[in-house]
Amino acid sequence: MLTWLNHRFFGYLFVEMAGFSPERFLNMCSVHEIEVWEVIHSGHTYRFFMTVPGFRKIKPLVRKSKVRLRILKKFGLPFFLYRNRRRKYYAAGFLCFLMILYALSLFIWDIEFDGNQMYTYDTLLKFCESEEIRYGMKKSKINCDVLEESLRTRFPEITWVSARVSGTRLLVKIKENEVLSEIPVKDDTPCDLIAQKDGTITSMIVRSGVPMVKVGDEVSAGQVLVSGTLPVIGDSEEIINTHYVHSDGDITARTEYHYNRKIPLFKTIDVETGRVRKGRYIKAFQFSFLFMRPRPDGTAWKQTMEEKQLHLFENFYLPIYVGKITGNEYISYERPYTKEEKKELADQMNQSFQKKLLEKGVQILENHVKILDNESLCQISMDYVTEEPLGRQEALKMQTTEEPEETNNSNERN
Amino acid sequence: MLEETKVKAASALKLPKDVVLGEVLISFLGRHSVVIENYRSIILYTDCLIKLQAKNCRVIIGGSRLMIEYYTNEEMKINGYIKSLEFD
Repeated sequence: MLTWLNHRFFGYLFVEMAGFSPERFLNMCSVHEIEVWEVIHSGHTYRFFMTVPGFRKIKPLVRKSKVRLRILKKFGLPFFLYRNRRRKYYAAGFLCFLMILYALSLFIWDIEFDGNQMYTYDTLLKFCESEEIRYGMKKSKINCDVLEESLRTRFPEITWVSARVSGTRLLVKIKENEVLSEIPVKDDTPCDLIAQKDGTITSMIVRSGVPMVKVGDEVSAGQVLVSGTLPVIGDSEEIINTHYVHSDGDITARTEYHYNRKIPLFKTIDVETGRVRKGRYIKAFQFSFLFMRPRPDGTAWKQTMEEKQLHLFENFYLPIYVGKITGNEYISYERPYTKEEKKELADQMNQSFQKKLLEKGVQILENHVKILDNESLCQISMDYVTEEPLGRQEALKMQTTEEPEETNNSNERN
Repeated sequence: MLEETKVKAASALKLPKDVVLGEVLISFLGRHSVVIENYRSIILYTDCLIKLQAKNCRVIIGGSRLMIEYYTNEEMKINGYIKSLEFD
């Protein structure tokens, strides 16, 4: 490779030799360390390649060995430049190209984050922008150490950051903390348990607090199920004091869910005609250019786009994007839903609601789906009878007369 | 006398003889290419015969379409259809 470059750079010749003692000439070349290669004997002549610096030194050797040399062809950079010496604009264009390339290499054209799982690309990019690090900024203005430091302080879950500039890219590698950074503290503030939904209590286990309802009771949303206020009643049946506790318990209730969905009677269907229109576009800074045949009047097309950023090598990204556009023609028309389709739609809705309920920890006991047809629209109603844990913690208002020390004591007792 | 001592010393010390004695070293790659090391000079070169001078012998390579791919002071590579190799 190195010799190849060397030959091209200094130029080399294809030479024909004829004469009295060609072997002597070849021997003298090797003695004088003149590079000669691919020697072919054909007829009465020898043909070989030799370098230009070598050719300048062989005059005495030619005289001694009484051979005649004829240059058949010239290769390499010096001859290329000589041939194109009049093409000034060509050279200017080439120089311009090199200069633009150099100028582009002074800026950041791509920011990449690697290893982020908790924080999205956009979050990190926005943060970088607030730190004055953005796409298209000067490379010399980036201080990687400062960026690393600020990323660590701003995002506590990031335990390790490495930022570096490679080519025209800013590469940020991130390691996130995989274990919980803090242990959840047990909540001990006094509170009530409140029903978040209407229902009938089916079971109740109260660990602390005063139960206000019993199994079989119907409760409505907002009703207190377990009270965190413990009244201390004296002998004369008057309230001497009140203790406040953090009420806690497992309460399940039978609840109901009703959903109603209206769907239009007619369904829009898009059918692809099979005609495809392809195009390309190129985008640099705020300029973009589209190569695509114009859309024929009265047709509708669905278009998809693929965009790629140009890069010279792995890390030399350029601010030029090329994209491919594919358009598929379609015709849309409307038709009424068939019975099967309605049923399928209802099934789908049912499935999605069931999934949502199960995710909330709700147990489904009964499930009814009804399709109600009407002249103007179609209704799908879904009714569920379910069982779910009830009780939401809500801080209770303490009376101001209460002394804090006593509250703490009561907590210990409970 | 000196030559004999050299040979003995080289075999006693198990030194490579091509280095110590300057003997010609020829390696073939199939029948289409041969590398000759430690030669002195080219005596004759045509497309069917190449005669080389080594330290104390001559090497004659016969064949057809013989071409010297490259040659330096010590080493030469010949490509072509090689038929024979003789010492003279």
